[in-house]
Amino acid sequence: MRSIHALLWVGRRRAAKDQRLAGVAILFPVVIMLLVGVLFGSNHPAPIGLIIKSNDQITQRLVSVLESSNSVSLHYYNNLPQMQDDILRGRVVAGVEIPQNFMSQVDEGKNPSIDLIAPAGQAPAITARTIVTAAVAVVSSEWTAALQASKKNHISLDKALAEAEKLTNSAETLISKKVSQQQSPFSYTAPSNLVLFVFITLLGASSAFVDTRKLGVFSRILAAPVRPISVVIGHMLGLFFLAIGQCVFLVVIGRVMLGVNFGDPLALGVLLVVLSLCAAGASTLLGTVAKSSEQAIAIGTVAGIALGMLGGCMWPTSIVGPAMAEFGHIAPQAWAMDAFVKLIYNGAGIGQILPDVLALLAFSVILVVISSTRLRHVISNK
Amino acid sequence: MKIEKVSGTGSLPVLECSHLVKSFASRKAVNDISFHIDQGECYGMLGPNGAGKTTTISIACGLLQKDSGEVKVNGKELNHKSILPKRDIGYVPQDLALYPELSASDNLRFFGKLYGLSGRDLEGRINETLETVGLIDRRDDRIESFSGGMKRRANIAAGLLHKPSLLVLDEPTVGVDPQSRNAILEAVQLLSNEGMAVLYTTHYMEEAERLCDRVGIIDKGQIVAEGTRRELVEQLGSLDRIRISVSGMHREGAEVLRKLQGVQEVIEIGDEIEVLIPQARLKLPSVIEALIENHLPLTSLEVVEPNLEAVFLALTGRELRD
Ligand SMILES: Nc1ncnc2c1ncn2[C@@H]1O[C@H](COP(=O)(O)OP(=O)(O)OP(=O)(O)O)[C@@H](O)[C@H]1O
Ligand SMILES: [Mg+2]
Repeated sequence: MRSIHALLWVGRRRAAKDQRLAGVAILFPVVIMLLVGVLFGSNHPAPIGLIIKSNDQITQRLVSVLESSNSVSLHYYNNLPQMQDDILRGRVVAGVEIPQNFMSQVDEGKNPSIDLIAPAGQAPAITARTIVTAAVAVVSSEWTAALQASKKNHISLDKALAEAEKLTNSAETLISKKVSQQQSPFSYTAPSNLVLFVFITLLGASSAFVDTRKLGVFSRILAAPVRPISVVIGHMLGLFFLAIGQCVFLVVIGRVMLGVNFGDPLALGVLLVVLSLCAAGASTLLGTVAKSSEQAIAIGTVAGIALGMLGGCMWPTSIVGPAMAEFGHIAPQAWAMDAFVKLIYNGAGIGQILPDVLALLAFSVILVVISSTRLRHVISNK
Repeated sequence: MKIEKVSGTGSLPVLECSHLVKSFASRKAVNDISFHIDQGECYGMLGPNGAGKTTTISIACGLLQKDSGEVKVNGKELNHKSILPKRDIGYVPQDLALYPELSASDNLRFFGKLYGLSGRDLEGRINETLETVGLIDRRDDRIESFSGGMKRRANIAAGLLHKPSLLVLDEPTVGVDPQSRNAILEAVQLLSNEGMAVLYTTHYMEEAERLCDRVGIIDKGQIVAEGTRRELVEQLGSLDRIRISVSGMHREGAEVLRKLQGVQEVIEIGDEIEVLIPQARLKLPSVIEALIENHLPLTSLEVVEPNLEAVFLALTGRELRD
């Protein structure tokens, strides 16, 4: 007990003196949260280009749906090369060409296709794509539904269409109101950078452990009446507290400065605890396998970023396709992000995030068991 | 000259190691080593690189599992199950085992807490030990800003904090400037005179000669000879020398001393006379008497004993330092 206390004390003391740690743990994540949030999470509509090659009823309806969306603003073009040029220059994030036969496609009951031109993999382009796809779906289903209704109920097509449009409009206002009221532009970047940097910080912190080990401090600690298991517990608890401290700090920044609503506090607390445990275990493991502190930092940074990418800390896994998103769950970060998304976007409680929490707990148990065994071995043999 | 101390005969030895054996793979690093250290005694372990000094010390401090043998600290057995006897030992490792980014006092605070010190008690001890090693004015400076010698001294302070009854120092003066080296030797001497038992390993025979009451000469994992410096030297049959100056009259002086009983040889070196004689210290009065009787003006007199280097060479056929 006494020795655990002493180890926690010295860990705090060292952390306080470590400016690099303050940078990685606090400054970097906050700066990146802000940058990403301001650049990509903003509520400003994404500018998209539009070329209209037909002038029928459905096309007009499609354009009006797009214009009513808060998420995109429309720029009209006459020819494709000019629009492509503007896409390349970043004046618009994506371009849409509504073909001449758009109406006939819908009329024939086909799944209508329109051309969307967008640079690959950029978040605003993905927003544009989502909005356009949704708008096409809305318009074509309105048309189909109105056709069916007018035939069945013997009313005019125009009247049926007007009814369908009324329904769509009210639904859309409802959704957009709800979304824009609740979500801060930082709602994704805040948790994703928290998850990303908790792992990067903790994995990086293993370098301090490697240094200590090399200096022979652990032999000296064991020269005192201290059991190796106390050293293991003291070390891991220190890392755990570092992680939980960082989490709480970033959550407070997210909540107070960036207006992110992290949802149910109990569920959030449980999530942060298992996340921190997992990161502490990973850090200990790296500290016992790395040959030098430089190696620990290098491996820690690369692994932290790579697993962060897989786990959806750089971009939502929803954009990489279901197979890749599934594969990403080899990273604990993916489970943590799933849980955060449920908490923030779906207002989930502890019950809904339980599977993610249990998965993180499983990661933690495995990491803690392996790393504490290794740690015991390493400190008793210097 | 060294102050003579009475060893605690009758009381328990502070450290008693019996038949220690430790192998790494197929190499026997420690091969049946036994020794003991009494209260207030400074025991030197003298041996070349790789002799097994650090391995022996690590076993004695309970840091390394032994293959066989027994370690007792103040009569209590020390092994991986009973670690409490470790409290009586102050271990100063060969490596600099401190946190470089923390101040000297913070490092000591940490090690003090490990031994259960706290509050005013701890702060008092931190100041006392830093005083002992001459670092009190660098109390709040980071270890990494210290010179090599100062780091070594801080390393020693960390081993002293909890007032151990046995201080174990593993080559504390390796790579240290003369000034720090002297400070370290003086501190150890002071502690030893105050009654602390000391286990001191080194491959500098001057240090063992200056500090230690008893020396174990260790080579290839075994203690090849043990005893006071005198005993070791006598085992060898070497003779002491008395170096004498009688201003301007060395020729006459040499004549007189040659006639003295027990003298084996008299050599004139410049203005000085060297007398080879067994048990030189006991013969000092008769030497002085003879010189005075013959009205020879004695200006200086020094006893030079044969050194441990010679003993080591004789025992192993090798120099201490390669
Ligand atoms: N952990 C280890 N694994 C394998 N061999 C070891 C280990 N520690 C020591 N040895 C070997 O045991 C022998 C004794 O080493 P030890 O460190 O005790 O010598 P030493 O007398 O302290 O030498 P030095 O004066 O260089 O410090 C050496 O041959 C060394 O190579
Ligand atoms: Mg050694």
